[in-house]
Amino acid sequence: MMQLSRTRLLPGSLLLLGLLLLPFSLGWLPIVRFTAEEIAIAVYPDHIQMNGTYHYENPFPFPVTQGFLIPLPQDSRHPEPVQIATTILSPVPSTLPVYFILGSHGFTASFAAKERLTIEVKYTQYTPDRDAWYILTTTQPWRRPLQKGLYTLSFHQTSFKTSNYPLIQEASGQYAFMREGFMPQEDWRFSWNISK
Amino acid sequence: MLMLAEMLTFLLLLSCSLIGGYYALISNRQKTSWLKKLGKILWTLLLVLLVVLFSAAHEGGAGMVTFGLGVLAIYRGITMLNWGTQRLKNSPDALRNAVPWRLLLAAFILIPSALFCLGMTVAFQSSFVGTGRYQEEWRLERFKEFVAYQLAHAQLAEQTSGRIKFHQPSAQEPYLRKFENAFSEERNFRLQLEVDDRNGRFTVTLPALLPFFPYNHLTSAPTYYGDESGNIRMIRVQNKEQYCSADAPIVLRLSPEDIEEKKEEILYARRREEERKK
Repeated sequence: MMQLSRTRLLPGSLLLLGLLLLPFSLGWLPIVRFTAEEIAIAVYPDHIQMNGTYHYENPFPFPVTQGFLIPLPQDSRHPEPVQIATTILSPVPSTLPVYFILGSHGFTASFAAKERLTIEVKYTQYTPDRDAWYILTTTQPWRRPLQKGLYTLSFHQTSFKTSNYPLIQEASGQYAFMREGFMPQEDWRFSWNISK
Repeated sequence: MLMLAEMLTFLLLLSCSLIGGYYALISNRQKTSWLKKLGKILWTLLLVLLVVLFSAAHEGGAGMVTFGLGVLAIYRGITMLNWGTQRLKNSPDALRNAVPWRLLLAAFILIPSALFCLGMTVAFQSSFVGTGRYQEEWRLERFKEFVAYQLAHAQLAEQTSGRIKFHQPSAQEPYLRKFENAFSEERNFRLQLEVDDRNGRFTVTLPALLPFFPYNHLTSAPTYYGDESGNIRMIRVQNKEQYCSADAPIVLRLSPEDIEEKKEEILYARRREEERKK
């Protein structure tokens, strides 16, 4: 009869550890903290350009690699966004390759111990019906509310029509709303008219 | 993807070794003191920690770790296969506690799975779905430029001669080949262009860039279609022989500014050519 308990303890422990770490390393579950975001959407007659700046923090005293998924707002009336680009803005600017796997766009970023990263994600979406939405509810899996969120619409040859989040006009052709301690319960939906 | 391959290989190695009873057999064969066993455990934990940190540091590290784990997994699978067949044939003392079907089962799971994960590290290296010119964004940008260039060329020709003429490689305007060559030089670009000057139409398709089979089924890639309307259409495919068509959803539309910019480039190239000839 083979010895069982002791010889299986270490590999069994490692197997359990690996299974526990798998969702984190694949980005299915967060290991870093998502602290703030600034979303700037430029609205044109037939398309929008989304420019998102996201702030993350590694709370651990050792380096980690976090996988991120990029949720894209698409349905039968809103085709898949394109020109998706991801960049680390700070501390050291660099481009992050975007991959498409198992139906989702994503990227990975390596964090040094206790490091904070500012990451920019951009995309362009064709919007023939002059309405669009930005997915906010994916904040929930991060389990903590955003410390701060700033959301801006700037209109180019267009004018503001509707938004499910109340907006404040900050300048000509620019509207925004801000939240602190923000755990969104619904996505941000907005529409526009074409300026004459 | 490399992280997925790395974790899968690691988990397969551990789980199949446990299934096959590998660790128990190794322990039976190596009669060591408890102190040496403790040292081995600590050394193993330290090694695992260093490997995890190294692979987390950057993509290249993850690739190397995955490859190393894959080789180790295949070697262990072959070892268990060997032990399993030995145990079936005779009863060597060292394997008297081995259960042949467990060893063989573990080997038959581990070897092909490890090979699959090794293949992932090759298929999903940056050259396929990662950085630079293989990125979706870069390819779309070049495709958009090419469609704009065709429209610009046709509009300039119409202004000059009253007839629409799209660009095709020709001896008359060899200096304009660079606009097409820039996109078709790389084998992976493979633009497919059809021109009908008489009716003022053209179509151009950019095939998808995918990893080799069977890994193409783990992902999908865009293929684009453009024509004289200035609309760029896209679908995602898993088969590189499948192309976008004229009824696909529009994802981008060229602006008049995009075409004017290309007109400027063409006129500049022609002026340079004329100056060179003087």
